[in-house]
Amino acid sequence: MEKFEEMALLLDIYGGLLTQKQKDVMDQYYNYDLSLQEIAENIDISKQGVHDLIRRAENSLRKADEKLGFLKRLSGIQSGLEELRSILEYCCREDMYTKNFSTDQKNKLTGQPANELEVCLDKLDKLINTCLGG
Amino acid sequence: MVKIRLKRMGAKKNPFYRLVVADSRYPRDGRFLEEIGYYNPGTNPSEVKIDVDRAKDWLSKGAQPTDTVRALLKKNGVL
Repeated sequence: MEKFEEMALLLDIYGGLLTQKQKDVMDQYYNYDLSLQEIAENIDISKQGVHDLIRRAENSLRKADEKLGFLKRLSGIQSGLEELRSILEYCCREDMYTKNFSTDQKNKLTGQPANELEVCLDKLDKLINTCLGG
Repeated sequence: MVKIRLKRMGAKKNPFYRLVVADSRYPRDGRFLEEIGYYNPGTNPSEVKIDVDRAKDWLSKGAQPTDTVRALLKKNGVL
């Protein structure tokens, strides 16, 4: 199952490096979840031939990622952005709540929005580094 | 033959799948008989929703799940 998702992502990122035929077969296999038999019938080659095409395309994609490493970078950026989003969401909510609160009530709240925004800045810096390949 | 397979939706680099029941005679043209759930690997942990009754019904009628769908069904106690 993990391999299935990994390959779908690799195909998105490096699909352009494959030949048209490889890309077509990989698309049918990973994005449409067709069986080797079905793909073989679609493009009129043997099941073994489809298997070989897929195997070779997978190797090409893996090799490309070994050298360029965008898969790791991408997932780092994605999880970083998601964290940022949840912090910012928290800040927005906090702001909405506190508008109607008295100072006394506000003081009871932990995690002042200002601090949260500092955390956001830190995370943003880290993300920028990730984008640069750090 | 009727198959249960994943159908990819969602954007580039952000895959999201629907579990669909489709006739293997019209592979890939997007037509399907019924949607019985979805699978989102993007969240952590990945999010799966399967209409268990419908899935069991189709399986009893002889629908064949693909390997990936079979894994999902097993993980979610349908098989």
